[in-house]
Amino acid sequence: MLVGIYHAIGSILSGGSPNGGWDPNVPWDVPWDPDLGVPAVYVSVGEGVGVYVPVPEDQDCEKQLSPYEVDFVKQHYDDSVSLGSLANIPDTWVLGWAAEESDYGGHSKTAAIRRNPNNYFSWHGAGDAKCPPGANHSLGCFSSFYSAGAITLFSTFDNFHYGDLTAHVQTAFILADQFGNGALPAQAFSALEQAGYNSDSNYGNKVSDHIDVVASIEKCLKSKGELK
Amino acid sequence: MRLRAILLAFLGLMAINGYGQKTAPSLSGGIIRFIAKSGQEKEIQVGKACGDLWVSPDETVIAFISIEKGSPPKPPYDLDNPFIEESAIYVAKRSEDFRPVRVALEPVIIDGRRSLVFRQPSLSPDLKILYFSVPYTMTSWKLMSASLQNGHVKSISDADDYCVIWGGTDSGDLLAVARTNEYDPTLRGYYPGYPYFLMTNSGAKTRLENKEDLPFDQFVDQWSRHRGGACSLSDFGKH
Repeated sequence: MLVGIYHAIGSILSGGSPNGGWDPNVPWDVPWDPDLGVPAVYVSVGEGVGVYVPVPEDQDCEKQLSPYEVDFVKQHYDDSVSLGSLANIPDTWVLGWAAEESDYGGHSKTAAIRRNPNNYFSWHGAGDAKCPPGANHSLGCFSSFYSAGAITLFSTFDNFHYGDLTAHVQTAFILADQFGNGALPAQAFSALEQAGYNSDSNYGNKVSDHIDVVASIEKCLKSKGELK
Repeated sequence: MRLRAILLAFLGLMAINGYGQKTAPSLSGGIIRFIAKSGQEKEIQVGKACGDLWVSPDETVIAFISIEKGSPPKPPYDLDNPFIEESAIYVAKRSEDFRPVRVALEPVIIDGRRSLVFRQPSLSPDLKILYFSVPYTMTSWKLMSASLQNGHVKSISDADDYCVIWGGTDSGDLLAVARTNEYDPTLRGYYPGYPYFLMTNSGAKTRLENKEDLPFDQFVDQWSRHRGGACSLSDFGKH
């Protein structure tokens, strides 16, 4: 079923509105039609005229998203908020970055995390957990998403070059510096790449794309009350 | 193929002496031990802790690193034990009772960053080429080679784990795990994967199917069974 402007147009034509009196101050993102009792968004259709557009069941925001992506956000949102707060960067940066590096927690079989447990950031340094047989030798293994994020953000065991700094520079410092200076995600993660995190010249754009995805998932889940 | 298998089995038996004692050099606690010609167990002395021991499939030659400069772990975030800041590579032959010979290597500069960290050394079957890795980013290492004849060093490819094939149809080539951009059609995006490759010394890569989703060490064993030869991985991370 396509999105249709049906119920509310009828209400407007009859001089009413879904709220029983159209209020131009009703915000755009009201997620619920109080008359129909279904998910809906408020859409302006002209100057001073607006309607509720019911969201059909198959267009529920969560149902438009990959279950892998949604589950990933649900599982790691709280840790990303904590890590983002510690590192002075948005939680979506942590979550989108991990989504990129782990392919949403190992969705594909060549993702590093499939061999090295909880290595959500492809960190080529020691983790806080013993690796199982068959793990990639150059990557660490971790006890949790949080520990992988904390070590990746705050370890100084690296050879990063950032500004005048050479070696022993935390990724958290680089990203927070970028964020504090107003960098967009693509710029910030490009700076991280150039510092020595990896060698993919398009890395900033890739991580930025995943940050957009997790941000939209967060927005959807928050609108449904599933995330705080 | 059958002859090669018999030969490899024979070489394996040769590695066990008459007393059932394994004679291949081994690494533990930063020390490499071996059974000398005299029959006594000895340690290789280079004045520093050792790591990344590689033993050739026929056990006639080894390569390893010494940790020239390292930082101790500083929990909770800096956990490498130690974090290697400088290392050196040594080669030793059984015919010389594993007398270690240091390979002269200059600092490597990749993407403008200088590194004196050399990891995972190994040798080509003709012993003319030294392979090693440089941890040049935090998500990928660079596989390099150095000619032991003229000292020429070159970059081959990104590779996180690798081994040189000795014998069989691909003798002298390398099996490697390398970070690659992968497309995930179900998630409509690119992500970094770590698939397996057959590589030549020039860096030409052929991606290998891993139908059984095997870890690299098991994949290497399976490859050797099907294609002949042997491919020894470094005894890694026990420094």
